[in-house]
Amino acid sequence: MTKQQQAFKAFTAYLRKARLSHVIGIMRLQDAIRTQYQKDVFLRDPWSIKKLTDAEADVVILVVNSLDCSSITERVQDQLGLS
Amino acid sequence: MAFRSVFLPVWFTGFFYWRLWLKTCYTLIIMSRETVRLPKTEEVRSGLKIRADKVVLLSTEMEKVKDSAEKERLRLELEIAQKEYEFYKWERDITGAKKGNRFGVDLKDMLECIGIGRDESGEFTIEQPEALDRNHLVMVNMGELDRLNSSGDHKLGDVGLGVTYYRIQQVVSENLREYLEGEDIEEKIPTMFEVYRVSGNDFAVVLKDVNEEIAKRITEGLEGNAELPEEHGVEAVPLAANNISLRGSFEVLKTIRSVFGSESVGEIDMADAEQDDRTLLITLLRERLFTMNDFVKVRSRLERMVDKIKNPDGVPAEKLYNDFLKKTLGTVFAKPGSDAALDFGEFVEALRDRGAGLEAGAENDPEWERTLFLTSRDQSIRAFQDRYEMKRKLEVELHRQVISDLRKRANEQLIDIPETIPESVKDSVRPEYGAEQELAVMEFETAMEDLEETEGQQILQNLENKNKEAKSIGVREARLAELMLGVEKLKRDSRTGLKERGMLFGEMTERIENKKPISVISIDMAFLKFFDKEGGGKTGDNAILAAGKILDAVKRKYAEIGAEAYRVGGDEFVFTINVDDAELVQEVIQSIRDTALEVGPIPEYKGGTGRYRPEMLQFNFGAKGYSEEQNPTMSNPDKLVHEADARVEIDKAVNRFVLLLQREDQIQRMPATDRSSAVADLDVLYAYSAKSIFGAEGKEKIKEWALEYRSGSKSLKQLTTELIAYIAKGLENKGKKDFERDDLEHVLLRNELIIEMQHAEISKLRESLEKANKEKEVDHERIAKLKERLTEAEVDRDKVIQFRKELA
Repeated sequence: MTKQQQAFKAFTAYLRKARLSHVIGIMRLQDAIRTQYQKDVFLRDPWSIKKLTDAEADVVILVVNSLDCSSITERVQDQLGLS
Repeated sequence: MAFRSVFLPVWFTGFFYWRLWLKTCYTLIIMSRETVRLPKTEEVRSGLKIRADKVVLLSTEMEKVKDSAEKERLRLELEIAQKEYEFYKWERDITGAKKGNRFGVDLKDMLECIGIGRDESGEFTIEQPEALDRNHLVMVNMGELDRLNSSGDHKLGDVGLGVTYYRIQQVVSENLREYLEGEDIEEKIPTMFEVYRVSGNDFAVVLKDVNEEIAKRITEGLEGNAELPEEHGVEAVPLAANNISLRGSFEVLKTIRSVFGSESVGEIDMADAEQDDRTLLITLLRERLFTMNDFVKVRSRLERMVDKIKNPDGVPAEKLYNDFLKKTLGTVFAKPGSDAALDFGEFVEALRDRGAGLEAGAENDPEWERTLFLTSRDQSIRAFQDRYEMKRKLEVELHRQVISDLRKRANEQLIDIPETIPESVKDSVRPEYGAEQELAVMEFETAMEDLEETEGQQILQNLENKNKEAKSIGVREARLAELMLGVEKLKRDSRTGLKERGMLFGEMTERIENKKPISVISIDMAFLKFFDKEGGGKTGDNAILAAGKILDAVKRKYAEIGAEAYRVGGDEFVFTINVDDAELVQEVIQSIRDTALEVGPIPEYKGGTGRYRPEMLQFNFGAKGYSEEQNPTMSNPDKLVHEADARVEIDKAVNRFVLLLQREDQIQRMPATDRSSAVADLDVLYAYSAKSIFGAEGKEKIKEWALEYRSGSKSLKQLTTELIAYIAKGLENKGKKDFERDDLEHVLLRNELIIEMQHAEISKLRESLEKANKEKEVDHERIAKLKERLTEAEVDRDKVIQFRKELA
């Protein structure tokens, strides 16, 4: 399995665990790479991970376990009394 | 799903036949000639029973027959009979009238046919304005159903309803026969009307392409008593009928659109606006039809009591009042402040005091006519008001948090939502379609092949094949294959093969009625309009197809818990599981997201606008469950879907805000030289996101947040907190706008109803005046009174009309 495939797999496993949409996941992933590794990686969607360099894919694999798992939708629902 | 659709009334959204009308052509092919004509021409009989009897008869015959060839022939006959029975059962109720849930659907199609929609510049328009006066709706109420039902079992009630249905067909057909000229009259008549049983004892009739005079004559012909067959030995039932044309409600719709500045919309939202216009017009028509029927019903009941007291044949007046009419008429003349129903003696006195002639041969005092009008008007408007308040109460219950916040912000400005593609984007130079796009198409198609055809697609394909083969086998085989394919097509969306909206509500209702648990997951597919308009037709089609396959794959995965997937609208889907388990619901949702990830971005096909950039399929979810143990209050399918839909709105806003924020952030971090193309791409997405992000204000907020994030003055965590508060407030404000619009719609419609009732009163007074003038012994006092009341009524009407003008 290539680095990119491993990174993609790790990321989708995170989405599954956190039960989040890829949109939220990608935003958090980019943020984590930026804050932890001071790198700007441009990700349009999860499939962009498949096109990263090996080094960038390594970073994805390293940060993915530290990503926040909370649901924004649930927090808005709480505020609206709909949870 | 739009908030508005969440609150559509049951009769319109529920439903076995959501898109069936569009399939009428097919339906006509597979229905036998007899089936098409039967409800319009033949005597009252239960079509359903006839078909059911045929099934029983053929089953019995088949058991007796020993010859194998004959047995095979009967087997085919039996299967055909079973399918015909199924078809009939789906479409009609026990009286033979079409089921009520078809009324709204057929009406919507009619409005589409007469061209109510938007023109090229997005302006509110109608292609055939004359159709507003040539299409009419008639409502017929059969009174005293309780009396029939109490005279034995419910069979007598069914007989009464059957008689009413027959009478409607007879009166409409006779009048149309007189009205029509030329050849093929008998062929034309069935195409000019349809009868629906819209509630227990109410029938609605759609009259097409007739003038007001004929609609009026039909309505008059449907008033009075309907006799039941003698062998039942019961008194006739009273019918109350009224009719409306499309005109009045169309004018109200125009006013509403003008007041809210939505008489013109941008290109992107044209299709939605057209749908909204038609949906709202149907709501307005429906309320008007029901309220005007209440108006004639109250009048008819009062007249019935006066007549009964005056001519005491059959059921005694006191029994009729106490057993059947007290609950509706008992408080009509109660003292102000009292809600206790009058007893029979008090009621008779009240009638007498108001001028009703109660002795044999006695004339009513002219004042009684006035009482009849005012009482009917006030009672029906009160019922209309009550229905609105009840609807509002349900909304408030759902949005209780929203309301408390709205009170604090009562004076805030409403959101302005511009929804057009910016000129800068329209004019921007974009790369041409080439190898990169073709490669993306190949990747996508491979991923699609990995997903199986949906179960529905396979079923339909098999039936199509059988249908082709059967034609060469024999007539009966061909008929059966045709019927089987036809029935299946009625149940499914042709694009995805998923079950349709009608199936969803039918299956939900069945589970809930049997007190079995069910969870509903409402699903909105993001960016369908973007896929469709920018990516070329095939891109949108493929997005829908992919969504269907994804949901079907997850359905198979969760077959053990009775998972089912439905396509209920353009970009709206519903997924159900037969458990009320929040944890499992989340698991299913994640499984849908996971499967969508495998498909990847939806590629551009040739024929796109050049502004398209592939986006991944993204779904927004909202869920709610029902079970007697955990959520017993969710025992209404509409309420369940309603609750799930409200949650979709939240997910949609969150996902869209975050997506746009992430893309905006990327642009901020790009070298300036690379930005122009990315800015244009993002502007296209903004144009398709206006509603989800609360318009221009939301866009500005995203840009502001992106700058703060880029500069490091705010972390993602801080932005998330702000985002949550912002979305919550935005949804609250959206709720406020919806409530304000509902209030205005209600006021305008109420005025329209009052005007219509005043017109009816004026017309009646003019007739009475004319009659009084023609009488041999002219009663000058009566004529003076009538003239005085006519002037009063005209002044009242003009006041309301003036109020409407001021509002507009």
